[in-house]
Amino acid sequence: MSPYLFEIIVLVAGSIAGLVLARRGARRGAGQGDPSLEPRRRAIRAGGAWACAIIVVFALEWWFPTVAGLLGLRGTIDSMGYYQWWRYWPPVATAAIWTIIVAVTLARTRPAPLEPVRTALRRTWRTYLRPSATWLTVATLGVLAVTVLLAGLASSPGESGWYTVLEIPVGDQGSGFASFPGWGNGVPVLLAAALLAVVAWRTLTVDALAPFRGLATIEAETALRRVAASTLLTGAAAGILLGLGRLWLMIGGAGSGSVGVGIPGVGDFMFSPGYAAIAPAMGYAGAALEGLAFLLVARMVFAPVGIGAARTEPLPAAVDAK
Amino acid sequence: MSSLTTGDGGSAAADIHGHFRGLIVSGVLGGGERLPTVRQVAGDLGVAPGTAAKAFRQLEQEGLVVTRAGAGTRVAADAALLPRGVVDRLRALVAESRAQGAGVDDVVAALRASWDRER
Repeated sequence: MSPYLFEIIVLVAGSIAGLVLARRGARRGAGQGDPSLEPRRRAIRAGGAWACAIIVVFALEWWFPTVAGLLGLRGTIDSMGYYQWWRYWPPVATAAIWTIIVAVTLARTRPAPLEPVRTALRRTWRTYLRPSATWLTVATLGVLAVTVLLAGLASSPGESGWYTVLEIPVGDQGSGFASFPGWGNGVPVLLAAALLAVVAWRTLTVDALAPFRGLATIEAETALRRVAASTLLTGAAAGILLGLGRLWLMIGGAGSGSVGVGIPGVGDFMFSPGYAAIAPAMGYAGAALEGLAFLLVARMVFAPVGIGAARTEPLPAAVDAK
Repeated sequence: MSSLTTGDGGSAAADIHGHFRGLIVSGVLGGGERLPTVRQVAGDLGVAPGTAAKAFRQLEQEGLVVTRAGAGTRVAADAALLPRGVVDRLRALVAESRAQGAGVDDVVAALRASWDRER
């Protein structure tokens, strides 16, 4: 089974698993919370747009050349050579745009304070998140950056001038080339991921620092802030996982199946033993990461109890109010 | 329950000062723990940032907090009743006890018994 077929299977499996978890979470959370905060709760749950956008982006990823051909842009696409930009950064950028929409939504539905509420604890972007989920997301971002760096250093410029091929030296016979996610594909992914991270961090900070409506709603508001923060973190983590998974899938795909590539009439081009050994595993791991991302998206959209809700953290201590 | 006076900057600053002073000397905030930012305090209480900053300066003059550039305002180690690590675990204990439905009297009694046994 090729990594690409495996990718389709894990995407479907991830979505189904996410939906099952979401239905269970929705049943658990039904009827909870303060009614006065319902507009904000609905706004947070209106994250379905992102799932739709992700599905459209992934569909375009596979069918973009066909769609471009129907629109008369086929020549433009072909002239790009190996620079298949649409296969890499759009899912991450979509997540960044969705995060901006969430930030605006949170700002518009933030309840105005009715009374001053004295708190004792410092609130930061991490206050309403589970530490393990936060650090896993940050670590994933770090792995993405390292992947882009290493793949970029290994890449070479193709015919179009973009660093999107892997040059395979074959002794005195010259070099062979394989399509590869080098600087040309990796840097846009990293820029989109950086934008996503900055927007998510800023949104979490602003929402955490917002004053509470009043003592009577502090518990409900705290619960809702946890939901908002975990939904945001889940969306960001899914976006980063999609970008990382796609990079790993393509890196693995460039060197999977054998220890090299054969071109009829030209000869066989052998990969280095190290790359040939890890490439198939990277391809499958990349597909698995994409499946995990789809699981997070499906769960986030249909039941906003994401990966980062700090369920056991104490409430910001309300001491008294005027 | 004390009231917060927001109409007079001086009174509001004094209230904020008294609030955090009480939290420090009673052990709610641990030694080395960061206080909320001036922006957070001002936003929570609906006062000007300068008013909150004035209260923080007074806390610093009394040696209750230490302010360092880039590190924020922290509770002075010798001013706190308990070290930060103990306070953090106490908060976790309270949260878990509430989640499990345990009463404060039972938790205090169990804590005391555990304390005596470990001695």
